[in-house]
Amino acid sequence: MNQTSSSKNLQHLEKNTQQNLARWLTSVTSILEKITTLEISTTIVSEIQEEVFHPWDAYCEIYTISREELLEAQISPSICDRYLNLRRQLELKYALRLINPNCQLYNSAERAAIERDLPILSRANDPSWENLPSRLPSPFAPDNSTENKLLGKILTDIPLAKVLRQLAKSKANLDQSQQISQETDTTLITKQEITYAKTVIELEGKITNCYAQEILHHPDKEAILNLHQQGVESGEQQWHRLLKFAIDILQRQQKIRKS
Amino acid sequence: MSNLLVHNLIDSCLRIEQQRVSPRRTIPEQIIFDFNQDILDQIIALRNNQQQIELSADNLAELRYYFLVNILESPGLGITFKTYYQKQEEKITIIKSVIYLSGKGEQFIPNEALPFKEEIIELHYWLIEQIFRQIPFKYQRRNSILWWSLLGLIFFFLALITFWLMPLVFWVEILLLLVFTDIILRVLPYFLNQYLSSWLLHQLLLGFFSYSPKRRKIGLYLLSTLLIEY
Repeated sequence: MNQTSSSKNLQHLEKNTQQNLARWLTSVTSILEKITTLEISTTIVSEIQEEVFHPWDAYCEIYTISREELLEAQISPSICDRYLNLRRQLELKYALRLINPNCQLYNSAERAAIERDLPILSRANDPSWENLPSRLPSPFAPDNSTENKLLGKILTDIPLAKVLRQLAKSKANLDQSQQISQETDTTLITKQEITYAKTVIELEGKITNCYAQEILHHPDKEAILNLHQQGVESGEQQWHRLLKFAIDILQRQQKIRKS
Repeated sequence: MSNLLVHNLIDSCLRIEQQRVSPRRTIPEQIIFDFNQDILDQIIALRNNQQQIELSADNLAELRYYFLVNILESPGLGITFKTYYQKQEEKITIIKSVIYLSGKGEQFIPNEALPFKEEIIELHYWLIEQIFRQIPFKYQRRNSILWWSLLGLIFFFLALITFWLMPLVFWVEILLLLVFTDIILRVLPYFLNQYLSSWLLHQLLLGFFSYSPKRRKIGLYLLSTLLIEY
């Protein structure tokens, strides 16, 4: 009896390992397949903010974004859509985790409904998603409630935690932009950060350099151009090495899987 | 400068910031270089002497883990490096650079860092280059000492089993031992690669070896030393 159970456990463990590896390899392969260019940019910012990330706080901040709340806070309509887009992205990523059989959040009962809603959730500039019922658990549910336990799982799910972090960063940038636009009445982006130079290297060898107009009159024009050049040279080298590292892992695992 | 001094110098300015993703688990989220004038001078001297920096085993393990987690668990996020410069009481952020597997590199430089610019940023990239140089795993070759030691150990146990536990004619025992050895030579690399490599990667990213830097170090050591070139 024990032997059967331990053999089942081993089989489950092996299956789980193989599934996770297959998932990792698929996601890396799909990224590698889409690469056509290497793009390096140099941006001068007013400040690089310290990133303090508390998953629960970040979840609350994104979860509570709603059109009503934004209108009430008199946020300008263009920024309003960008805030709502963050909420939509969280909803979308969570839905994708729910229908991923390899994920601890997998919920087969919701699969059909989610697949029906996905096309709407995936459209960035379509507010129809706001009419869909939210699947995200409330962060204000009582302790030990099902919603609260589910939220615990969400916050410890690494891919979702990373998404949440990215969304929290974007929200912090939007908050800062909003603050600046309220203080002065100028364009947000020019006040906050400017990408002065961008170099795109296509895989077939074509190199395109783009510069922001503002660089022409910048007192540190030469320094910025030199820093960009340095960034391009180093970025190219770093990317090649990162790519080689990823391909090495990929090839090794694929060889093993084939054998 | 001796290797020990270089380790100490790098340990004093290299930090790997962690993010807590669950009550028991943290994962690396960015690499920080903390410079002050003294450290800068020493690193400049190293670079000018064309001396390569060898990272300490702890730092190297944690950096490899960061790369592995980043590539396999969240390939959409980049590897982030940030440099600070301590000028008297003030700590200035000089640069943040991010490299993405998807073919994108970003560098963010605060306005206030522009007067400090080129030299510190050059060192920022020089240290990154040193890190990238050491990240790849060095898999064991089939003729390595470790590989032959492992085979020797297995051969020893097979010989013990064959000669002590099997009451057979001597030449039959020798023949059996040779057959067993041949089977092991064929099966061992396959077993190590097929099962151990997948299992170790899985444990490093989600399981037993993922929970603390010490465990990660052991897991990465096993991954890079027990695996035979395939």
